[in-house]
Amino acid sequence: MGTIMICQVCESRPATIHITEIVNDQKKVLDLCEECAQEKGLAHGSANFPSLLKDLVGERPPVSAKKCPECGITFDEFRAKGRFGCPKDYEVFAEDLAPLLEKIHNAKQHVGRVPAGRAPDAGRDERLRRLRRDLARAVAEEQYEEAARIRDEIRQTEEALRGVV
Amino acid sequence: MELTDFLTPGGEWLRGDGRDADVVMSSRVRLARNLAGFPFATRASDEQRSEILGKMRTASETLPLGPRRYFVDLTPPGSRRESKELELDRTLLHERHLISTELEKGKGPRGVAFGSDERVSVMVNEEDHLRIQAIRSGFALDEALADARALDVALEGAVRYAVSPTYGYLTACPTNVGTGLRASVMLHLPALVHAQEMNRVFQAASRTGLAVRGFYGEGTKAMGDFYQISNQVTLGQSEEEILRKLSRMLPTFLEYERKVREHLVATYRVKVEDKVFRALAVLRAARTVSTDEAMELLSAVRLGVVTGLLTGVDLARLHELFVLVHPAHLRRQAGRALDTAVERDTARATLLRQRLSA
Ligand SMILES: [Zn+2]
Ligand SMILES: [Zn+2]
Repeated sequence: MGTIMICQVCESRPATIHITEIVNDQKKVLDLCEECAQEKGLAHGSANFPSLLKDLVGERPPVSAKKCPECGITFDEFRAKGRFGCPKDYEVFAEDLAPLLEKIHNAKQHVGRVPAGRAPDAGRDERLRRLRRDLARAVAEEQYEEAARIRDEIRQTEEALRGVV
Repeated sequence: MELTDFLTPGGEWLRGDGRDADVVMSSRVRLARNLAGFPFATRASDEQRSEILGKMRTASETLPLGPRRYFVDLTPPGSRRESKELELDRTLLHERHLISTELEKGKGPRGVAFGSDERVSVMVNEEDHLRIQAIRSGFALDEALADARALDVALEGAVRYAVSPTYGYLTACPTNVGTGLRASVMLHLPALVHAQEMNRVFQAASRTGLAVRGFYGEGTKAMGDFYQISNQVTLGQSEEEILRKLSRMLPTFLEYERKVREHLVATYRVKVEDKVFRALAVLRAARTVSTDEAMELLSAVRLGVVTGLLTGVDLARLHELFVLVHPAHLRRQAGRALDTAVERDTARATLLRQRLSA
């Protein structure tokens, strides 16, 4: 029933994508057509995060040269892609993440529900991720006996964890 | 798997009943979850993604998915012919709102579990390992949350989620961390669009921390005057609080649309009637119709039905058409590729004529 808004970039096509960005603590709404959004890399992906992120942290060099010991991601890589590599990253990059979460959510602490009656066992979760990384390497290097051994170990660790639940 | 049962949309959310159904088409809740023992999906190897998919296939056998359970493996296989078939299935599921654009277009091992009434689905290896989704007809966020939570609780018993005491449910993207909850309502706003008032809707939404998206969610264009309004904050508020905030804002949008509808009908009754009846006439007679035109005309007919200007058109049947006019559904219905736009537009016009014949 008629068009609505015009794209702010090309000023010709109708704007069908509307993005709230935070620039210098100020909310700014961007109205874009599909083509221009795609050009900006915004048409797919999670909440248009990379662009949002760039505005939040700016183009300055990374706050830290830290690297996740588990998945190997750096904060720079995270900034570029807008996605973390593994659950450990929230711990590794806690310091860099804090101001970001503050801006996105205006909060730093979860208050919603958590899995019922689950014993926290971060150590074993980490161990499982390490085992799976070793498994991938063993398979890549065609060390099939080693791979079978690691698969057994994964199974045992998962069963032990189930007992904890 | 054969998705032949899916020629007709049976989605409960298309029924057109429930609270505020004159404006609210459907309510949706999704929960983002990740398994603790794996890297996030985007960084997981194909073998790891397959392992997750296998775990979910097993878990899905006992999940409260609905009367009949489906598990569709969307992993691209080797042969090209098969993968064309699979591509169609993926698009079909996406057109039905059972899977996201990301799961449709993504790469590597992935899949979806859902129930035959299409009220809930669990996407596997989307941006997060699991995306639990529940959709209801009309304004029913509490009910949708209850459905999603039942799945969440059942899954808790089968897999270990990545959770931190500080950040809650850990997600690949920090915009979802905490509750992992995205609650949204799909609104039909033909009057506001027509009166060029959508700008104010966007402004009001952004002022209150809500996001506005199109018919197929994130990054999609608005079609048929449908807009999804959803929460953006996921950390630092409980699930109930997030729903409450969205619900508190909602009447503003609903009343706004209703007021403009009333005003249009009161002031320009003949013009609105003309628009509605013309739309129906075109749908009943045209020989070629594009997707965009179909969505626009169907929107006008829907406006006629909900304002009482038009009788004799069933809302649920009309809603089905908002899904059936899309390419994968047309192809499945026709049983052939429909490679050219003309073929598709012709098939679409035929379907519309048949379904809306007086
Ligand atoms: Zn543009
Ligand atoms: Zn990591």
